[in-house]
Amino acid sequence: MILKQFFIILAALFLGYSIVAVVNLPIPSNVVGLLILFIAMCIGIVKEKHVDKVSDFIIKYLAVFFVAPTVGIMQYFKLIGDKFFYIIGPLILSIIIGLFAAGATTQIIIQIMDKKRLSVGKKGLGGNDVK
Amino acid sequence: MLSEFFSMNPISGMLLTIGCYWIGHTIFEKTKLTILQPILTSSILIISFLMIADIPFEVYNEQNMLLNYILPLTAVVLAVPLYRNIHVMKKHAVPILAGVTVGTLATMGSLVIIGKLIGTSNRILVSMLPKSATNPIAIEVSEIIGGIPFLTVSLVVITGILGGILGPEILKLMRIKNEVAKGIALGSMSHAIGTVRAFKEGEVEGAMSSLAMAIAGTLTAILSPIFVLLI
Repeated sequence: MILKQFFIILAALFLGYSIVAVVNLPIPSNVVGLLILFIAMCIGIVKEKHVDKVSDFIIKYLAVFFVAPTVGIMQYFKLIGDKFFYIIGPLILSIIIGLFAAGATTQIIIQIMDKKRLSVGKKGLGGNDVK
Repeated sequence: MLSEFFSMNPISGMLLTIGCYWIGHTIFEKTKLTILQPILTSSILIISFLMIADIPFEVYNEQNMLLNYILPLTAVVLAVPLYRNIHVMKKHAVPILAGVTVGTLATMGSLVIIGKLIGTSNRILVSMLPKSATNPIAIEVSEIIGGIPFLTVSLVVITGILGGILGPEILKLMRIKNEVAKGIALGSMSHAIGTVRAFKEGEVEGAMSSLAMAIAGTLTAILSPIFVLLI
């Protein structure tokens, strides 16, 4: 039922707002709401079928909600025009550095773990040979 | 004349948003080109219209309040794809978490260092900090750390497009060939747009990317208030 799904998602956001207000966290309420819903799903209080339809719809058209805020950039055209290279330079470089850091870290750790698994496997085989 | 007509009707802003997004979506579905993101085409169409018709942004934004009110909900529902991909997470938990964390720290750290070196103003640098997070998270983070949310949202879109177009080529140049690693890099740097691109590379890349996008977004939200102290 769509209404029930909407209620559960709204309830997670409600809890997020409440927690942030009480604890005074510098973290967005909707991120706390995301974590609450995720934990509730992992524990099993909320099942995937309780939230899937509304979530899939919102995620599919997520960008629609950000059209108006993106159009808001028109208020800052002058600021951006003056500072274009000060914005685009760090932006591109930090994306390249981040891509490399994330990709290389993941790849190296996977390689190390695979090697370990392989050497453990060899030891096992060696043991069998002795027998 | 057109401006008055537009302002008088409380529905015109939202009609324009949905209509232009529909056009953008149709173009994207036909071409499948990363640069023709529906959010980019629709925003350009709307900005051009508002400028030609001489309609202030405030008027247009006021008429989109219905969408703006539901906006915070869009982050909460990201829990669902995160939960769906939990099985991939279990298999490669250490490399995934390490990759996303190092990537997020590196991109935020290098942004601050490079920005400081060349003298980008503080307000702009703060607005740029959450650029790799998905927009539902980035817009709220920007507000909290004292950035310009409108600037952040646009930079998030640009980051997504740049990462989506250049990402796979850069990773190839850097000899990052592992499917898991490619997905993690694309998702943690260029959120949903990178994830669509990652699915073009392969099923594993796509699943990893959507996982990385949710984790990187959450991490960005937690780390931004700390990084902002360095600016």
